[in-house]
Amino acid sequence: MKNRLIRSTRFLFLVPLVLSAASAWAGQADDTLRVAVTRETDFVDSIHTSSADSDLFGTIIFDTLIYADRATGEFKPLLASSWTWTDDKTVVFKLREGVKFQNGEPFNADDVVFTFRQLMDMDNKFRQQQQDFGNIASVEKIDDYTVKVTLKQPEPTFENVLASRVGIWPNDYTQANGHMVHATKPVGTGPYALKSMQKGSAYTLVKNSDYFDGPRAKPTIGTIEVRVIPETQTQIAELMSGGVDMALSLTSADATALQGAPGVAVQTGQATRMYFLSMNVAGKENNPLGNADVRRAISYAVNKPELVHGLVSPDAAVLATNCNPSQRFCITDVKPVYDFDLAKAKALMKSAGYPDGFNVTLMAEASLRPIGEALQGYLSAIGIKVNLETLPLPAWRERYIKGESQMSIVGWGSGVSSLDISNSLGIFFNGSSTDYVKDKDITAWNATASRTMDKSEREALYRKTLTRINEEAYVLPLYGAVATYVTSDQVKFAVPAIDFPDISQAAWAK
Amino acid sequence: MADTHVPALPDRRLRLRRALRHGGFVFGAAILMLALVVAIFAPLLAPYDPVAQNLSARLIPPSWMQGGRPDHLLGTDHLGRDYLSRLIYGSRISLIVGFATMVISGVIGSTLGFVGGYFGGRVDDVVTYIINSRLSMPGLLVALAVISLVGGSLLTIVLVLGLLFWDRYAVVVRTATQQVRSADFVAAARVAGASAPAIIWRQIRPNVFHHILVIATLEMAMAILSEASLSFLGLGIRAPTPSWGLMIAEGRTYLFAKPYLIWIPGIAIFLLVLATNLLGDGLRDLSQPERHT
Amino acid sequence: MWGFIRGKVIVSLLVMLTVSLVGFALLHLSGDLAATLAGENASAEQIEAVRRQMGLDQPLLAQYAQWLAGAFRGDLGASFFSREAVSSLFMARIGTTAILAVGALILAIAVSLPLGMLAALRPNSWLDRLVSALALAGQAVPSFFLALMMVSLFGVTLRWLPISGSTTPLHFVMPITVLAIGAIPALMRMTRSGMLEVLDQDYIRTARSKGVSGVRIMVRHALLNAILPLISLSAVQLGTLLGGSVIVESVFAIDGIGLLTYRSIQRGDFPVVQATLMFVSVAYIVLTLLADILNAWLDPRLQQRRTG
Repeated sequence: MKNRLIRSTRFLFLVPLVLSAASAWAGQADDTLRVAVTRETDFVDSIHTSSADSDLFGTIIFDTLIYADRATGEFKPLLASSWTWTDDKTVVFKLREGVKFQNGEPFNADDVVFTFRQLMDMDNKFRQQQQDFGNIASVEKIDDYTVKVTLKQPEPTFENVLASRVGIWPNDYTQANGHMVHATKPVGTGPYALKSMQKGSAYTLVKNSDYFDGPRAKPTIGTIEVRVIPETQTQIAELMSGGVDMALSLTSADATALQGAPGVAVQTGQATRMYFLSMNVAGKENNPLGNADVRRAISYAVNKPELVHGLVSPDAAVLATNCNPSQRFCITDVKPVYDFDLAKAKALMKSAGYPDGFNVTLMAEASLRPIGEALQGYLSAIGIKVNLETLPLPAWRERYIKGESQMSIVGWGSGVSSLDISNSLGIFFNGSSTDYVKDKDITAWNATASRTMDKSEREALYRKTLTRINEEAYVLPLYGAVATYVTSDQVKFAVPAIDFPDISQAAWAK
Repeated sequence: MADTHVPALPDRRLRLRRALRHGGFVFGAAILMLALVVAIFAPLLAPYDPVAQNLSARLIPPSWMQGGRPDHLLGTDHLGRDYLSRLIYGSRISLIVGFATMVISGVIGSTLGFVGGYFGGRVDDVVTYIINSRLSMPGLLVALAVISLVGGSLLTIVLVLGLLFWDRYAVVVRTATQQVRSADFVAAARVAGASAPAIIWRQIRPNVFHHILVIATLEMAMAILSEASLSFLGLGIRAPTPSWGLMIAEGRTYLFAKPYLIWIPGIAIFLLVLATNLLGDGLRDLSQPERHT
Repeated sequence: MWGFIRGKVIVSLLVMLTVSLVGFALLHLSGDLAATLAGENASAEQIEAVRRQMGLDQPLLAQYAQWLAGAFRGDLGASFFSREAVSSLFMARIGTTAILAVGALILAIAVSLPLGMLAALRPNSWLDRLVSALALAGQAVPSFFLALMMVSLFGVTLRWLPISGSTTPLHFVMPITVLAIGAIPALMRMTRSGMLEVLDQDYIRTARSKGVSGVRIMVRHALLNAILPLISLSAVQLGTLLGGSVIVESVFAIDGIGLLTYRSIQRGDFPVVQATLMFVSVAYIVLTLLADILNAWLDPRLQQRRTG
């Protein structure tokens, strides 16, 4: 026994360090694009999630009927060869012929009908299924390459939904295996097919050489390898050392570290996400925020250009109205506007009866801490003492939904689904628990606008809403998010007009 | 006071002399005292308000580096706040976290240890069982989970750390109490009719106190490091009160571009933890001969 | 011997039960899981529906009983988000984390055993001082700080080592080193003090006075005796290493149990968090139990003392 022990302790000194050759470092040499993202993806199929990182996969594995052109944001026919609204509630799709799924199944009307039936089956529990697909009344196959979709009510934003998250499934394959098969073994018509994945850490996609000629360019890079790297500093280190060619979830603050790093290119583009300061207008007694002059004072006290350009990015949009200019129907020429004016702010505080200010709690998701601190600084100048509370996103969301927020920095929207203003005005002015304003007029105008197909009518309604918001200073619009795309200089990647990158469009620079 | 304790004096003087010869102890005590003084007199020492921001003076490097300015000795952070002032005020939070956690866990752990060690038998079985249950819970994971659900404030962090990390006290105090329990003076007190709490407080506590002190320093160091780790994972104490852990967490974004932003608070934490550990080591060394006599 | 083992096993099972209950209660009492689950756009009614659907409206004890019944059948539930079985999430990652933890433990022992022994052979020498200074310094560096600095030096500046991922053995060098540095101080002190105690004993002194060389005594006699407490401590350290792997796996993007837990904590994926708590507890309990039994087997005196 003792011998055994001695022998085994001897092994402790011989640390078995088996060193193999260093892994091949990135790039063009092996025709593999290595991409880093921050969060893991639960489903490679974007029907289940709404995170930008999972849209990444859904977008290139599947094709949608309508494609959002990344250069212009324009909608173009993809799997549909054309589409026509025959009335306010009916749209007819002509389908592209000669397209094959990655498993060889031919694409036709049966696939589209099958996919839409799945969307309409509320037992499937897709994410936001009721909001996004609850309005579909029926889907009908007219012939092998024509499909008619009927809505229950007019829905001017229906195309956004189709372009962002409705990848068409092959009916035979999906029927045989259940739609959940796409979470692990997805089959679409898209430019890349999933070859293998270690869920939560690494995904390998290979080029679909048979991809059709359409509005989206044929893929050129042979293999895309996506890795989840949760720590942004590690991503930056990988970029600097050439371990990855592209990082898609860095913020512009993160990217400052990379400025001047050899071989790395940082580009910024507009995003549809926007941030505003939410105030509890409808709160009960003893609520200084219920006073419009106080809210106006707050609006005058914040030096938005300094805040946004200093802390977010010099390229970020400073918002005058409560929408992102990259959104459709975002009207920015509304009166009044609140330019930084400390004297006016102080006077308003005085006339509102708060010459010495008051205490208020500002909640924000943890990554918004710098913005919160800056707001804290601005508001202290007019006597408002801000207690900043930063929380993890779920905890913040929980309290915000419950109506427990006095003041919050709210970030909202992403990608194609926020391409229209209705998305960001939606839940904050609809009379629900996330509506801290409770202005009945606005609620009514919004509801009408979201069921009106006529563009000028919609515009008029949104103008009314945005004007009222500014007049009453219900919220303080802050900034539009900036999307940061970091690539190695071996990679050519055109910055998309919206933050919904299609990495199948990346190519080698030479 | 000296009059009533005449016989103790030479012993004390001797102990003091030994303590002053112990390099680690002196170094540790000096740094800790310095941190304490800085924390107490922070408003007098700090050149600026630690939360006053100046967005036009962001990310100025320390004065000895290129681009540094003499009016910001350690430079400024991403919001243009004076880094030296933040460091000075940050000592408060880090010390409060360390000290409060040490006290809370000390009270819980020592009480369990005393009770288990003194009574033995069934009572001890229960105490051992509680200790084992606690030991088998992954402390940092539980802290992370709870704080992420409740949100991090100074109070929650101190409470969570204090309620979790009492195990070392319990283990050590229990063993030490077992050793002292059978000593003559304890038996004498028992015969004289003293109650159990009285015996624990008057006879046993003074004799195991040096153990508690040693653990206390270790716990304090551990709490300061844990707070830093929690901050790193985004679950630390919220602004505007700077803690050193928070300074590292905020500066991390600039790890490669402005490394001093994380080196400065990093070194501060390192020194404070090192000092606390050295103090503990010193206390252990200094108390050892006594145990033998 | 068997009585001793049985007693230990029963207590261990009780401890596991307690831990599972405490973990369950802590997680359930500290937040509204339904709100988290219902998602960003959920209304109050939708949250209520989720609560009912997930059984979160039941009394806590009933929920616990349900969880426990499942656990006994080996069903730890499924992730709220990815809907994957917790057990398969675990099985996919356990190997990676085990390599990290065991690797770090081996490295830590390989460093601390000889250093601790050397320090004990010449107490208060410069070597002893150097060793304890190193231990102190190692203890004072936050592990995330060390990890980031290593990435910066070996990954970016020198480019000796790959930075993130777990595809080749080289990928494990930095993470294992960081974890080991965290474990070395305690192990080193333990070895040193254990060794000092043994060297002080009569039979060793006799052997030394007979002119048997220091190193030989070390290996023949002292090591054997000093290694007993080391086994127990290693078990404790292994549990700590598994917990500490959260930070290391997050920095080095290693998809193991630690990262899984951290991500699950961040978004309130309760079944996964609960399972991890249980897993680490069980690992700790089993390891200490094994260490106890091993110790008792190597040193029968302990059985007497502990059972008696």
